Amino acid sequence: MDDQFLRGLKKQPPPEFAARLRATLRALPPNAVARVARADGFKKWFAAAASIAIVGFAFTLPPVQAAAEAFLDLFRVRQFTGVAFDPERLRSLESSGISPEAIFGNVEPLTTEQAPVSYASAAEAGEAAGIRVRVPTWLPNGYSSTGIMVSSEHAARFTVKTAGLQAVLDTLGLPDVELPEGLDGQTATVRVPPIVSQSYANGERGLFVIQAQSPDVSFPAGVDLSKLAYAALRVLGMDRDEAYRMSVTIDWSSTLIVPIPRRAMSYRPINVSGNEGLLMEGFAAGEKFPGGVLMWSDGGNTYAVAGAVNGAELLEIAQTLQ
Amino acid sequence: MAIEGDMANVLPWRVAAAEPDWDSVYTVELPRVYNFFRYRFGNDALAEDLTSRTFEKAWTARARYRSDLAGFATWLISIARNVAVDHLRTQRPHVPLEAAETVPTKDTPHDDAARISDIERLVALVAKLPNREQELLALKYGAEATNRAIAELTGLSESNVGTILHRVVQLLRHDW
Repeated sequence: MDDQFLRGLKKQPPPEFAARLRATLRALPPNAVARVARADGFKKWFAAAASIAIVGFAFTLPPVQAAAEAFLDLFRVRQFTGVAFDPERLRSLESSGISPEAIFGNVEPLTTEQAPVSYASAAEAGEAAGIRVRVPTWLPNGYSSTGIMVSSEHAARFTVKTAGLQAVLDTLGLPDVELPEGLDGQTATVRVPPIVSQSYANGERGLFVIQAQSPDVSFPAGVDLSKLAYAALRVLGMDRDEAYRMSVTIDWSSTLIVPIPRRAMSYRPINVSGNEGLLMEGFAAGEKFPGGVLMWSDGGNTYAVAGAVNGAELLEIAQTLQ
Repeated sequence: MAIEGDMANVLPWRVAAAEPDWDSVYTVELPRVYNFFRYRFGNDALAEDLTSRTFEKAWTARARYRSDLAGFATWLISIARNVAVDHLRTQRPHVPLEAAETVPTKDTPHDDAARISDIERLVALVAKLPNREQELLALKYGAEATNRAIAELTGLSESNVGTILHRVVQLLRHDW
């Protein structure tokens, strides 16, 4: 195949461009990024879950109050409830051109992004995060500590755009969920406190113990949280009857919805030292080994243990934290 | 609401792969990524911009690089492909399809030829082709990817990649 005319069109990047880009990369945060991706992921996960909660509450705001009320109510995570969802369902939103920005407008950061910081001990990390860090006294065979990191607090303000919300409902075919008037432009604030991530490794297998004060979402007073939950559950794909049943039987002022990819992970509630937690097991997207995540709250702190181990081992680690 | 992606981030229990030698990576891969975008869009300034985005994304996401899943070059080019797709979503096509009908040929008067570079001329010709063919061409001749690597990136079979590229080259050579 005579393709020489195509091969001859290449050229070297201009040296000044290459030098400028190299300098830009070198100025980005140092190697800490690689090991703390877990803690950062945890933060993102909370943000995603909180976003779903916000989508829900946005459906339920009484228009009169929406215009006048200050931010008075506060949602704090004390329990988790798993909800299976089909990723394809939400992918259809993306393929329809609906992005989070379409719903929330410009997300306004209230804190400055900072690189996570490594600490030599749990005590030092706890001091930095403002919590007493609990350390596992039992680990599965072969695991040893590889470090402890603390990510900074993150907070952001979201502004609801009803046109975006309506597009979500239309795209997903949810005529039973109605948007109240006067909602457009209402805001909510999500705060994720500093997150402490203790990491362990056994060859290629990783294990993480994550702890933070419970994240919270502040929103205008008077929100009907059961309607909020109904909307969120319907967006995630739950049928009407089940969504209604759950929406009226769970205390939504303290329960966070955890979306779990259908087929990839199984989940069940589980007791962790007297607190109801949520155990997820299976293959996470892109992971080489099966594993799981155990999440629970205790005394104002939220915990997660995640790793390439089975559910019984996750529970054993959780119950031996001191 | 990229929930699946966020879920994936919270569940990583694999220890991060050893990091590549970034200085070597930069030296070797920068021209490949840069030329991928030049062959894709025919604009040097845009190629610089998209190359920067690609390397910054790769740098900040390097903890997710899986040495057991893909060669580093393939991983980097997969990021470049996503950057290109994002660019296409947010921009009108850089070279309108209509422009292909007025692309200067080698018989074009000298002043016309001087106004348009060979790479712009190529991209204008390629604009007549389906998006898939355009991308395969940029992967093959800009990024210097092998047919096998292109097959891995695109999900096409290796023989299909070869067949499509052969046909595209024949078409382009006729019009060149």
